Amino acid sequence: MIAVKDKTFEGPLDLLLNLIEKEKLDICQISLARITNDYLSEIQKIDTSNENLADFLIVASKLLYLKSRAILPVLSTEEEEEIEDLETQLKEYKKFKELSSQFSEILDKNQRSFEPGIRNSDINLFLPPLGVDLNYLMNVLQEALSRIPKLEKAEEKRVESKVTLEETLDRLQGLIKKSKKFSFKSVVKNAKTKGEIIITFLALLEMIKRKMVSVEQNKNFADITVQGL
Amino acid sequence: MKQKNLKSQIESLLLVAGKPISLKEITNTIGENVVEIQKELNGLIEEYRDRGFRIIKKDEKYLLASAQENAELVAKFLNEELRYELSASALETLAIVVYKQPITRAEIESIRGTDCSRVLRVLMIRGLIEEVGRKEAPGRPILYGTTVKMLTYLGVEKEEDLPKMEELAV
Repeated sequence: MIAVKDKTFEGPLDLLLNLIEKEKLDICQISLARITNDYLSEIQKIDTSNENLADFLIVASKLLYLKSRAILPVLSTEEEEEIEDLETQLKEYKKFKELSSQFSEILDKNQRSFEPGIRNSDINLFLPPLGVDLNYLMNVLQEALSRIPKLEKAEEKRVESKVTLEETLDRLQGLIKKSKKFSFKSVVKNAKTKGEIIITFLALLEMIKRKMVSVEQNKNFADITVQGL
Repeated sequence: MKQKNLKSQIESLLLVAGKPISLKEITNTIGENVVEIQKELNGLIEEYRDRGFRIIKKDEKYLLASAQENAELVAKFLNEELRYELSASALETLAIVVYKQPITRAEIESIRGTDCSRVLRVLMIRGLIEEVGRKEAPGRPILYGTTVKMLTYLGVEKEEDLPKMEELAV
């Protein structure tokens, strides 16, 4: 894990580049697949109100695709091209990142030319066109306000609380700690929706993957016995 | 005699213009051969190297400005900030515009992988970039390019003095 807590990233590519460079990897598909986990754990830390979150997620999905393809090489779809793009895009981005740090070196030299003439020219003054006075502006404002559609109260609807994969994982782990062994049917017997059963099953698969449990099932559709490892 | 005259004429125009003027404007005003004018201009650029003037050049436009090495002194006199803070993303975006101009916002965003509208606005307000036209593509998006001000801000005389793109190890 890489500690980058206090660093804010300019964007997903900035983060990606940072991770690759910390691992001293070259920019290629293999290294992209390798740093996928680091990338995912980094974006967990991003505030969900961050307006650029979607951009980070797009890159995350590309990375996951890349990684899954590294595991299952037969997988080949039309997204191929777009994924190759990520590599080129990152290389291109790196060039500009370096250029911008050279720019910042230039700026550090504190050399600057000043143009003659009006000062504070950085500030653009706003002057209303001729014939525009307070009354005119008021009229325009009122007209604009009258065009705003009236707010309609949206219908209230309750959102069902959802059980997340993480929560389910925690619950099953707790169970294993406590009783070493449980049956799958017993943990889903109180499930309110089909979704919950599916989530529980996914959590179970995840635990198997992490080699936390072993499972036994005598025949198709029979109960599954889960045993802690 | 005529030679010397021409040089001083160009100098006067640059001085009073107070903004970038094009080679064409100078030529039309003076009514002299463009090759001669260009020669005299280049002569002036050289002469000014040890003086307090600099001629900043961008796309056949010339601006008379103060010498880069006197930046701190001039800023003090004008009571202006020598530098305003440009964020890392602003600098990154500026670099992209410098080397890829004319470029649309979408093209910049595809390089940076993230939204750039705010940074572009900052650069516009600072006068470092400007709209240079529209791209002949669906939606006719705005094309951005850098300004003479970008050069004065960075303290370089012309775009060729900026770091070269191909010098970078990829």
